[in-house]
Amino acid sequence: MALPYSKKVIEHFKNPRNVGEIDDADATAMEGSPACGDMLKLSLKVDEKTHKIVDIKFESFGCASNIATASVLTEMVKGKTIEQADKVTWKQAADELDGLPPVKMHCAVLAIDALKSAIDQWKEKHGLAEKEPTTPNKVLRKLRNVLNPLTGASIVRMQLLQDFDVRDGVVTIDLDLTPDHKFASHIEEEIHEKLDHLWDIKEVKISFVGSPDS
Amino acid sequence: MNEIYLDNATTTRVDQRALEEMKHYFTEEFAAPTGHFGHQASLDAKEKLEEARAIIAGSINAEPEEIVFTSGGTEANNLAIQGLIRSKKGKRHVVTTAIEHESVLNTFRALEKAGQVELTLVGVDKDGFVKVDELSSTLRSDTALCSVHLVNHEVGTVQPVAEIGRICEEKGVPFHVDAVHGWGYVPFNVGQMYVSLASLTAHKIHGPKGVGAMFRRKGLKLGSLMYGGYNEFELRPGMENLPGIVGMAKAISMIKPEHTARVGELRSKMWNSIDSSIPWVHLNGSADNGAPHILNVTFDYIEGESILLHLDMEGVAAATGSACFSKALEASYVLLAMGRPHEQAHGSMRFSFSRFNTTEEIDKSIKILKRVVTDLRKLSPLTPEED
Repeated sequence: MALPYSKKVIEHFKNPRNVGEIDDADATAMEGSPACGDMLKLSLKVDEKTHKIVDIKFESFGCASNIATASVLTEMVKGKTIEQADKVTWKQAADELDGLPPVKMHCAVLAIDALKSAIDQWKEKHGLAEKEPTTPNKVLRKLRNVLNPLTGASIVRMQLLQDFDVRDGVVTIDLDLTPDHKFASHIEEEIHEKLDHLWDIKEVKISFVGSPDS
Repeated sequence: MNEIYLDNATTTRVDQRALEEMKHYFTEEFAAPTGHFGHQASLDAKEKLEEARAIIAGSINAEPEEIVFTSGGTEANNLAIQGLIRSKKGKRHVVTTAIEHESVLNTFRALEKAGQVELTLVGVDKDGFVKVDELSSTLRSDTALCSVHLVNHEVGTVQPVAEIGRICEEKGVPFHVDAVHGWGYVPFNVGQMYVSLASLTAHKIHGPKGVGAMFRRKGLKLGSLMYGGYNEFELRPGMENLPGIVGMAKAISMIKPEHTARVGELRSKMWNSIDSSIPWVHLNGSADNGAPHILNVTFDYIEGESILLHLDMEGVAAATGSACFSKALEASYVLLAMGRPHEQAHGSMRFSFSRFNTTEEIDKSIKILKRVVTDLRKLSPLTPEED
């Protein structure tokens, strides 16, 4: 039996592209943390006039999928404009690698998050960012990037969101999972990672309301 | 198959002599070891079964009738723990440690969830030793069972089982020892250590997979977990796995003190080379009181699955405590219970040795490991700048 990774994943893992840090980067972003076992740092060099990403480099503390998705993503967006790069999804990054095991899909999400953070930072520097308030729609968009590692699909698509609300800077989320679900603490952590840092969010309350039989 | 196998705490290669002896009981003396008033073939099989039972009993200073054969360590742990609780009426208090094998922890958790026991988990110190004072203070007059492993499966710490056994004896609490990781490698004497129940398995000591044994002190009442015939003192129905049992007895009798010493030297060599040639490493476990075959090391700033995969591609098989490698995406609960931060658990690797490993293999592994760690650290945003 072979490893659960595609040839492309293994190839990028063994020979990662665009490794390192750009010294005079126009934007850098760090996503994840060593405590989560997954961390990625991206640095960008962007042409002011054309908005083209002329250079991109990454550093990673993470598993094979983490290294491979970061590597492939740098190849995908190099030469693209900021606006084009902003539209790349984690699904596309995973597809570019000929897929990832479900339990590893979150690595692609992490890589995209790092890219978006770096792009946001560049936009802010150049006065292109809008400080929009956090709407239920925006929360839902963020939650589309939280995956159930069991299936590798988002908790939104898997209809695990029983209820959610945004009010006065407080997000409340009811998940159709039991507290002792195998991935409960993992999913909880991921949701906090996606929402806690938003400028107008004070608190994120997550409840596991699934019944044990479902 | 990997060229260099350093994952012997997961499972081991079967000793050729054990395999040879087993073969006979598949194709020649294959009769059921029912004995008593059966035909000659079954009487002969029974004799062989009892011979094996005596060898295994002798290896832990037990009586033959105190050994019950099972399908392995997990079944032995389940039978010891659930079997004891089944024989008691009402809810009982049980004590175990936070770093036991899942087959102990999850058995206790299931009984707790079913409302059959009140579970107390005792913590461990930074080297993975059970806090004996804390354990002692949790034992009560209604404590039905205390369970502590002989050797930790991830970090190899040898627990003070004799001391804990004495305390349990004084307080009248039955004492179960999961001796799966340690049997054949460190002293284990059920008499001297006041053990009431113990679990053993064959495949960690160069015996076959699918066979193990439970020790039960004479007179201790247990309930059976399965319904069936009257095999194994009415505790474990089902046809005895005679070839496996023969292999298990042969495997334990092949282990010589010089093997253990040599395996211990391989461990020391590996750790000393890592410690002297690779910066930013930590030994997880005890340098002085670790099992001779288990070495657990954290490599700072990098993640274990990446190390494991690179080693694998270079022909070295090892294990990791990283969350990325776990089926539940959680870092090693053993290392976390020892107070290690998450990032150190993610960067942990377990190398485990056997008498089939050579010093040349260790030298080669070190060389590969050094290169892999250096390369991955070049990729990591956390690696400090070199001076």
